[in-house]
Amino acid sequence: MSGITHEWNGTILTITSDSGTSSADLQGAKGETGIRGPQGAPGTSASVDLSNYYTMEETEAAINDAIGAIEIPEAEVDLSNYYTKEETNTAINDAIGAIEFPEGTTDLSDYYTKTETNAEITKAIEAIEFPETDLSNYYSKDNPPTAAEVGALPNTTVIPSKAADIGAVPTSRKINNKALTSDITLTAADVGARAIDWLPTAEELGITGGSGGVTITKLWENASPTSEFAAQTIALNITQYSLFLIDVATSSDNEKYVYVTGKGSYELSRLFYANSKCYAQKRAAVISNTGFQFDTAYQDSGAHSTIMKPLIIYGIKGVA
Amino acid sequence: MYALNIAEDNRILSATFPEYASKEAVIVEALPEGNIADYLYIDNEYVYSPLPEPEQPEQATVEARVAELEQALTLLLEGATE
Repeated sequence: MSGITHEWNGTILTITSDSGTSSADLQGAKGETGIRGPQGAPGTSASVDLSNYYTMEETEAAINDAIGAIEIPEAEVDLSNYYTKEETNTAINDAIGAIEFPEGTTDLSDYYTKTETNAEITKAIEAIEFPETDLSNYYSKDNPPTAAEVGALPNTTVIPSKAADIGAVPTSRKINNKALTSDITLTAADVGARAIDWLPTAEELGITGGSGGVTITKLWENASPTSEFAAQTIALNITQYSLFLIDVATSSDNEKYVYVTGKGSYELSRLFYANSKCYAQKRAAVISNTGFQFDTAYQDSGAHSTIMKPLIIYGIKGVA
Repeated sequence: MYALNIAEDNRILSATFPEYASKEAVIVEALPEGNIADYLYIDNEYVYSPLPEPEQPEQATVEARVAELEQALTLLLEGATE
């Protein structure tokens, strides 16, 4: 044999000659990782030939065609033991129609029909008996009360039409020459009294000890004229005064009256006519050198602290 | 200024002005509002203490007046028929 051949498997080099075969592992131990080289230039795009491939649309069309081409061997399915839908519905309806209810087994002899029930209710209502109420002690339309039972005069009674028939005073009657046909206003002159603004002269008063007339001095004034005025003593030294003018409010509306008195016991009083009635008001008073003692006021017989209230008291004395 | 006239039970009886009052009168700056007789004056102070209202005689009702007139008529008629 002549010649030399070699074989290289990437790692081991094998040389075969006439003298034999020898080999050597030419790959040494793995060295350290080298430095990464610079990025190469972009390569050229490769052209791909897809002419032998289906697109997705073509693939789906092909699949559908294949499914449609499948033939099911009908003759091989035996449906002789199955109902069609129509046969099934017919069978169900026949079965329902064949159901029989056991009529004879329900005994309704103990039950009322509707008609019987209504008839029984009507009979029961008609049979209800209300207890009779004794109305003999009550008046009714047919048994109205009589005039005597209600304290009225019978309709045959003749009502008197004249004042004289019942003993009344006729309207033509006069009092102090004033007819009673309307409200009466009495003046001081009507009853022979002094006018409200009258003041007596010294001669009329009979004041002694002075020839130059009189002096009138206010001795007391009510500082709360609208308040009630109970029985009380007003302490004053009035020795030097002979007569007194007492201005009095007769009622809560403070209508005024003036009374002229001397020392001693007096009664401040008045009569007045109102609401077809005559009233009397009075308040007793005792006047002494130490002052005025007023008693409780009365209207008719009732105590009344809002009438005959002293408002102002004047003292009168002669002047020498 | 006012002068009070006070009862033994301290109730105010009336008020006047100082120039008309006795030396013993109680002098005050002001009066209580309203009816002074509703107040007591105790330790220089007003104490509201109204007296009870006196009982008023009952007013005759219309029914009572009618009954009165009916009775009068009855008496009149009886007298007329005698």
